Amino acid sequence: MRALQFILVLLALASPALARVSVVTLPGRDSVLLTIYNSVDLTLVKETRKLTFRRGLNRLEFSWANTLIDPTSVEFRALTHADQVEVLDVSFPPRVTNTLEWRINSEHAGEVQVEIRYFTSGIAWSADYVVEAERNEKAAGLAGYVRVTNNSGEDYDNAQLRLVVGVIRLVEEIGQLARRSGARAMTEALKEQNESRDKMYLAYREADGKFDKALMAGVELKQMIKENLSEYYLYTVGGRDTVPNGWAKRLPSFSTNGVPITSYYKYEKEQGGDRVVRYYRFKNDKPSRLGHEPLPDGDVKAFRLVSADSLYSFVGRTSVKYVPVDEQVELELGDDLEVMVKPRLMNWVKTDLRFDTRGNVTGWTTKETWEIEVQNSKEIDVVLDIRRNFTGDWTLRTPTTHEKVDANKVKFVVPLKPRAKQRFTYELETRHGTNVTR
Amino acid sequence: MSRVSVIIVCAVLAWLAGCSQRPTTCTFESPQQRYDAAKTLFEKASRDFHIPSAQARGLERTKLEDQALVAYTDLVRAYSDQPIWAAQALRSLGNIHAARTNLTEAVRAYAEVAEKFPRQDFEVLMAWKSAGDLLSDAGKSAKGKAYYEKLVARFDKPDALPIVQSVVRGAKARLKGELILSARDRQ
Repeated sequence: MRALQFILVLLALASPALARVSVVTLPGRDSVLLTIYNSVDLTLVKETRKLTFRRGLNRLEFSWANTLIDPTSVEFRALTHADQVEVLDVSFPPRVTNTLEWRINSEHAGEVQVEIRYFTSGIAWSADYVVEAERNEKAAGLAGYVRVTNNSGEDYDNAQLRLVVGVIRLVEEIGQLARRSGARAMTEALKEQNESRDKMYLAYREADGKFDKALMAGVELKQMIKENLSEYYLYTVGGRDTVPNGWAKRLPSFSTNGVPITSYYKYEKEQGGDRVVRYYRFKNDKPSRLGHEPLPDGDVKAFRLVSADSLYSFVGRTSVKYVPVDEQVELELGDDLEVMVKPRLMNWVKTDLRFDTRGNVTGWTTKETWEIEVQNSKEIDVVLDIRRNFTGDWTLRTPTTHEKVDANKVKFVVPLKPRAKQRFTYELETRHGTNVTR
Repeated sequence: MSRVSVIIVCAVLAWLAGCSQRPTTCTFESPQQRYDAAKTLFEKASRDFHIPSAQARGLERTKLEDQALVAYTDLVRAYSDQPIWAAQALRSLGNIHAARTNLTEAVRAYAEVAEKFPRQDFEVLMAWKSAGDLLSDAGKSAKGKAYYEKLVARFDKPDALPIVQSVVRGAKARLKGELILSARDRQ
């Protein structure tokens, strides 16, 4: 159901008492542009229509009944013949609910393109991605999608969508202020919320004006805008789409093939128990055929090519946080049962006992011998990242290449051929009590 | 569960159900629950009665307006602590009375918006403008002028939102005797 209704009432002004009244059916919207800013549940709607004005006083109604439109934000302006069209008054007709009526004086008789803009709640967007890794997991295709959900009470036909990614600092702060004020006394909270809302609208309009200027100046649509403390990014979804009330729509936003990826498997008992977790890593930069824009937060589903006839298997799903340009992305894709790590304690001894004068033990050293068995049941090469955590005053002895991550963590990187199994060992010496040397 | 326990549980459930229909007597409703309940009532009154009444004719219209009047009145009475919805309901009462050309009741309802919910800026703005327009269009321009003057005094600010500035501009024009339209023009 269309919630917005326009009725244009034309008054040819002779004297008020003799005014002729006629109602004309308006043409539909010529265009509608939705700029959706998620973090404060706010969308700026700009719609243009071609209206036929008579010379003199014209009346135009706008209803926001049963929608989430904020009537305080509604604005009317003429895009053509702007110097001949003036809003004289706004009134609120009593015969209908939640409706305003502009009284517009026009010196121009004929068609005028007008813009009506307002803020509404209830429209949200979210990003999601699909990764399709090649069989050898050295490269992948990456496709991004945007899902727009409309619960605003209003249908938007053939809408152009702009999504604001990142932070417009002032809008963010004002939004937080408005939310915080909910906990204050009712009267103060209302006052604060009204003031915050007005400031937020002004900040938002200012940002929108910059978007418009950037677009008019021919700036590439998908481009980062950086200024002062704000870092935001205007993402314009190509083409137009209808987003009816009560519906969600998933729209493609980009698709790139041949993104170099690193596939590896991580094992860390303290983090994931006995699980071996698969990761895909890539960089959001130009050499990786990405880096044109930051990637918004979103869910990721990953698949891997398993046969020559383009059959893909599901690898896992995860979510990513906002990824700025030139930053690395690490996707944790869940367990992989085809890669196994089994640590075994093979030997344990207590040595170097020290006693005080009364015969009590004051210092000792333990020596543990561990064997790590690793197995790759997959048909492709894999790289295992095995992390072991040690506490206290410890020393590690092993012929296997390893890297100290921090004071208490060591990393073994083990490449494994398809269907390969191998073992490596290490000896851990830990000094206790008076044996501690550091 | 014994028969007595079942009876007690049923009695408690019945009491809870009854209480939810009489929100003023419930002491355990959270502020969010009261907000949601007021919103639901307002939306129902608007969607089921008030908006359809604008399209209806004759007895059907009268019936729908009566139902809307009852629903809005109940809301204002039961949820005066929910200014966002109660103020809209009160102004809507004014609109229904105005649509029925009941000038006195309409203006009374419009005036009460500012008296009862002074912090609801936009509702106060709309109510005062509606009262001013209604009185002026009915030939009571002196009384209408009082509302325009109050409106201009409170809302004429350089940093006001564009819609507020347009309403203020109209009120100023009305104060100067411009933009007076007959009731017939407003049909």
